[in-house]
Amino acid sequence: MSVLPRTLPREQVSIPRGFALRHGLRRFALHAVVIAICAVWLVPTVSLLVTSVRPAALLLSSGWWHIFSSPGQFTLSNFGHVLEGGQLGHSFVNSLVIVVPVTIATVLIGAVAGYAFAWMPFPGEALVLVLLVALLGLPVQVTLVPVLQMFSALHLAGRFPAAWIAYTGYMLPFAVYLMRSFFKKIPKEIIEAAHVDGASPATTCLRIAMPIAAPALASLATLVFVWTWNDLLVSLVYLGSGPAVAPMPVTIANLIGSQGQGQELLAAGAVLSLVMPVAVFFALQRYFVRGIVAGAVKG
Amino acid sequence: MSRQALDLALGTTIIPLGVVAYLVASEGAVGRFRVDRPTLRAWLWLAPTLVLIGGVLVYPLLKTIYLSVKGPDSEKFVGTGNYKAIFTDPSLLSVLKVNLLWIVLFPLGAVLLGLVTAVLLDRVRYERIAKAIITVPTAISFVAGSVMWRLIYTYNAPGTPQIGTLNAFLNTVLPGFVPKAWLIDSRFNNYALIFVGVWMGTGLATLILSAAVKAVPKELVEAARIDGANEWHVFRRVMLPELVPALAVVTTTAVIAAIKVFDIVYVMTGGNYNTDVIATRMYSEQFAYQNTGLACAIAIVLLLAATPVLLANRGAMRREASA
Amino acid sequence: MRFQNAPGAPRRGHVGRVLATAVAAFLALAAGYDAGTGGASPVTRIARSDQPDLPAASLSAAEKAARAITHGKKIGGSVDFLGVVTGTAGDALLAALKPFETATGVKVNYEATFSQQSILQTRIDAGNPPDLVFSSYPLQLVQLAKAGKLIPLDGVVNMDAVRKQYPKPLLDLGTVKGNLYGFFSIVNYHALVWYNANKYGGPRHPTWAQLARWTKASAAQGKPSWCMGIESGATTGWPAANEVLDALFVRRYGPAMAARWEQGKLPWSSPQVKWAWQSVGAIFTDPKLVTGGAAAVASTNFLAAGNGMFTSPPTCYLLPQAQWYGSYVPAAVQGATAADVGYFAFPSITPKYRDAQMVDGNQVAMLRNRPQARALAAYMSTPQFETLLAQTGQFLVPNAAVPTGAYPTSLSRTLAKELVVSKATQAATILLPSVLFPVPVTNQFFKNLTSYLQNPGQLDNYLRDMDSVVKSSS
Repeated sequence: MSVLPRTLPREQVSIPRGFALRHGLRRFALHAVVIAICAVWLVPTVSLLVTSVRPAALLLSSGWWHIFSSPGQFTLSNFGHVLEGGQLGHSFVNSLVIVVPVTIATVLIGAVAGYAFAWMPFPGEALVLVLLVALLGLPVQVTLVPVLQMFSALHLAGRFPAAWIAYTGYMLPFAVYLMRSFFKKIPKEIIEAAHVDGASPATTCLRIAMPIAAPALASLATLVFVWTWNDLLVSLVYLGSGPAVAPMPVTIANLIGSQGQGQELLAAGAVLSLVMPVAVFFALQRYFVRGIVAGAVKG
Repeated sequence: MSRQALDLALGTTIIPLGVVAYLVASEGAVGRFRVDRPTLRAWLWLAPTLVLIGGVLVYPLLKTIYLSVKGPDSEKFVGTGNYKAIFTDPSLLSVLKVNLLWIVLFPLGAVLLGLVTAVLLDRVRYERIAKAIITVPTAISFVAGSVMWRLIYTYNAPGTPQIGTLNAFLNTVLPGFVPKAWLIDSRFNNYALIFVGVWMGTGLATLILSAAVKAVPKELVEAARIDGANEWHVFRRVMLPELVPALAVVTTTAVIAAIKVFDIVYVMTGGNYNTDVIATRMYSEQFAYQNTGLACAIAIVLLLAATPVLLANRGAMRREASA
Repeated sequence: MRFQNAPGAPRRGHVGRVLATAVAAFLALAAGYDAGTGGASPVTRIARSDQPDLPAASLSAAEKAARAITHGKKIGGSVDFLGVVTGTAGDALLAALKPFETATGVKVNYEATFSQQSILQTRIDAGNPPDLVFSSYPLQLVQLAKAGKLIPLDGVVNMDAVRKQYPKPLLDLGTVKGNLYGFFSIVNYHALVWYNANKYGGPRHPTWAQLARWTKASAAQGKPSWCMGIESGATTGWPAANEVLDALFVRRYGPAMAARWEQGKLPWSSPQVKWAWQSVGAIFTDPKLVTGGAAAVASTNFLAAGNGMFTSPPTCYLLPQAQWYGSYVPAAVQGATAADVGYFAFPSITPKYRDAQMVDGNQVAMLRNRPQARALAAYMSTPQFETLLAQTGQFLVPNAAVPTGAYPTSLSRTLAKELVVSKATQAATILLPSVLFPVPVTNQFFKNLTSYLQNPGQLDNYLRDMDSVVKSSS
């Protein structure tokens, strides 16, 4: 993006030398800062990737950067060990089975409720909203015993529907909150126009408002997906760590022995667990960037 | 098909169909009853949310409030005893102090960095890659993150090979540097942990603020530049006011996250060496010390601390919506 | 304007196609994955390829023992088994349980997690306990037994055999009001002193006085003799507590006094406990005796603590650590092999307490009275199962009927011969004191010991703090 205004007539585009120097310095400083930040941000991830391809014996005796000076250290044995027996692959599918329905449910139910808050005023609305907002601050740990009690009574403990219900419930306050604030930004004219055209509220919501809200829906889906995929505590308590239902974080946490042996396996497992959320993040990132106020209709 | 695949197929298809079917059915129900239709419809649309939240959040919340006025074994009634302890017991007060450090520094770091990167990245050609690099940490689980940051913060005695990235780097770059135990030394460890939080959270701030920066009408910026304003003025007088709503959202989200912070502290230090925060203390009171009453009281305090911030955010959102 | 898509929104068809592709991909992945494992569900983990295979003779002996338990019937069904043994050791445990599954047709659903203590409590509180638990928290089991949440094992296991084969002190620990509620199936011996067999020139079976003389002479030569690292994240301090302080106390004052200390009857500020702290402090704050002095001790990770024994030249010579260290070294320390590693039991101070070996371990306890649970509990008490555990090379087992030849490495055979099988140690095997304090006390113990090593002058304050924690946790 040029610093010079584009609207200047061409005759006036003559750059004084002092200005060019300062401009050059400023560009340099800009790049320096950006690259420095990116470098610092990258280091931890790179260190994890490198650690996952180094043998166990070297983990505690030399820094991970030594792999660049002695590339012979490179080994895929950690990944081999971690994938043996198929348990990690099985957990990958378990994670999908948990996360995908949760994401779909949270986004749809949250969007519907958010739309209701935005465009269907009703008595008591403020109170319910305050309750919802307050619940955003509730720590998950206090819900564990009562909810597990509930699931046990319903014979759901240790089965996927328990995880679906729990995660969706935990994510809904945030989802409703986000979708409500987004739906409120839709210009009134659009909703009223649809109403005038004879659309029912359901149609207006599903076929008019939702497409407009696509960036927000995508953002929400991404966040819900990533947060649920990476969560350990809730799955551990409601599903247990049995191999049939354990998602990836649970399986990876169990790669470590009782004395903490196996850090290199943990690194390899963590790298494998990264693939999915990072992929989802990037796949849907373009919708983030579309802008929160994208596509506002003018007239 | 295995049970797994079946569960996945059912989960992914039944839920969307179910929601649409529910909306259609509720339309039908609304038509049938002779009541205030818009109100009934609104409640019906909210019903799935309320049912789920009721079971998973509200019921435990009520139970927590009830247990917070009882003793450790949930038998004796102690009234406000647990709450009093939180504000008088020195160890609990220090927990509050540490959390306050988080509440101030974490949003400052994440929002400031998010803003800086949002503004600067807008001006470089490799914006997409840089943004990708900064947001990847958001997608990383705490288990993976703890492995990474342990590798960075590891301490080795002076004279022995430095395995920790930070110590090794400072050792090379600063002459006379003495390796520090970043996670154990109470002078630094909270800052070290907060930085981990900033590392993980800035990406989200960058994404939201970047979208807001790009939404600033270009005509305003150009006009200011033609008027001879330098970059700093352009930023302060023109861009910043446009960014206030997004900044409000990001800041309040960061403050809430700082109040509730748990995983980073739990996984990296377990709350030792003066790094205990409210949520980790609550966890140990509940599961290690079996002091249910105190744990529940701490949870309620946490909730009460977060609520005003959330309501303030709502106010900011409302102002923005009507602007 | 009829239902037009708002500008800027992705075309509906596009979104639908993306979604459909995604769903199809997921289903294909799930189905394809299924074909790979032959549709097996639930997945039972296979022993790792770098672990020894279990001999067929032992496997069939174990199967026979399992069949005897169910009188030849295949009772089928499943068992929910919650434990804390993870990683490679967890896989080894499953391999040893396989004969039981084959013989009885019962599926063992083993769940392992580090948070076993809190998960167990949560599930019991929520009315959803597992059938069996493999617990490393003896006090939690005692509490549960007293609260009536555990099923007595007297009618479940062969009590005559169990009484003959397992150390009496450990059985007593699992006995409440005359009923046996838990028995130790796996033990870890603590406070062994490890050395590099090639480099260590000191006495190999010293008393504490002899060792002290040698370390002082070594210090005079400018060579610190002790290695130590106590950094361990949330539980920093435990190596100094478990492997040195506890050992010093037991060696000098004996198991009976240790029991009084654990039960809170002997205060932490008593001269006996204070002596133990001071002895630890005298060594691990002196840079002439321990490499790097107190600062290095506090910040070196316990896994790396002994690396100095295997460098050239070595920077230290002795490491107090539990039995696992012996098999850890060849796998994780560069340039070290199994032949380089030697150990001796913690030096004796008072001769009559010389044989008291401190262990911690995993106890089997039953929470639900189901036939499958009873069968599994009985199986796990048999010497045939314990032999399999020994043969995996991952565990030491307290059952004296297991032949020492069952262990795959010479180190573990020696450990078994000297620590498990001898009658003297069988009678004197006690539980590690740190494990028998209430959890808040143990946590504070580790914290205060760590702080003490940085501030030796504040000892009395730390001991007073320990006493107040004891009071508030009782």
